[in-house]
Amino acid sequence: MGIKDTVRHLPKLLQQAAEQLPKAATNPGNRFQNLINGRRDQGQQQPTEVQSPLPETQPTNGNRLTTIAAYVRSRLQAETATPEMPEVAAHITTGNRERILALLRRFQQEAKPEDIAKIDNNIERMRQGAIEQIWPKIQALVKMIRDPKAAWASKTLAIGALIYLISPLDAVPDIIPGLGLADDAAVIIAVFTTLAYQLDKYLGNYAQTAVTTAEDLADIQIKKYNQIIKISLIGSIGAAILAIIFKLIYNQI
Amino acid sequence: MINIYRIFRLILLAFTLYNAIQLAINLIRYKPYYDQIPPTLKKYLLNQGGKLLGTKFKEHQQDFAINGILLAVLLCLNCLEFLI
Repeated sequence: MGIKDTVRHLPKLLQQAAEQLPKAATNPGNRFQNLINGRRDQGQQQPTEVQSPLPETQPTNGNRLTTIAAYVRSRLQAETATPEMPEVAAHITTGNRERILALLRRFQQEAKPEDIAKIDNNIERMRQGAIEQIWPKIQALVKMIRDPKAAWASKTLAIGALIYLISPLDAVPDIIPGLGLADDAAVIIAVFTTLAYQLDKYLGNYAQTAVTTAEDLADIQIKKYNQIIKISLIGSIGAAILAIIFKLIYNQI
Repeated sequence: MINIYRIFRLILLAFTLYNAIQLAINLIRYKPYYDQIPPTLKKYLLNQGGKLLGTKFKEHQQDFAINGILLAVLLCLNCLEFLI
């Protein structure tokens, strides 16, 4: 129906609405049911139930606002989640490529801020095998998703990759020795390469942290070996003094 | 006469020699990798390493001094033991 038709039929529609209003006012609870029954009578298909993103129970104003905000945020995430996927796809060259990309895309679209805590809790247990070698990259991704100033679109990609990493059942299940973590590593490297520009500063931080940690470890080692040498020298001095005393006594005898 | 102190010193000498050999083995093992580093980077790494060692030496100077004094005392005692 075009705009012109709508304008032409507007008076008629208004009249129908005016006739329906008193009925609805007398029995508002049955209005929706009557409308459905009316459609059934006219032979129309019963409308399928549309799942509302909002809860069925009527929340208080504060909860409702929070729910609406969460819904809007999730829609925004879904809308902004995919711009970098082609670049990621170009970097993934392993087998099961399509399945890996499909899973990554799904994880990315479903990414939400609550996933950050989930990643924090599970990321350490993944530090093994192939993942151990790319751990600095993973650390940089984790730092980026924790940073409130980082762009959400980039964060979703990083969250998607990290969720892929901690998920035991992905394109190649993680329980398969040797191969299980190879696809995870491929995804991490692809996403890291895609977000390299944004991750630069987090890597810089990581490098600085690594230098500080290495210096601390060096301090611990220096202290430890100084102590060992000191104890050995004191022991040797004691032994030397004893040897001199025994030698003197032996010479006297 | 079985000199127990001499045996103790021989054990310490063996321990020192073992560690020196391990150090030499490690140097030989990693030398090819070190040779592959570009000269500019090598120079930078040497400078940084030197600075780091200098800093660490200053930080732990007191410990090194104590150990040095103890070593000097031990040498003197050994000389004394040899002369007696």
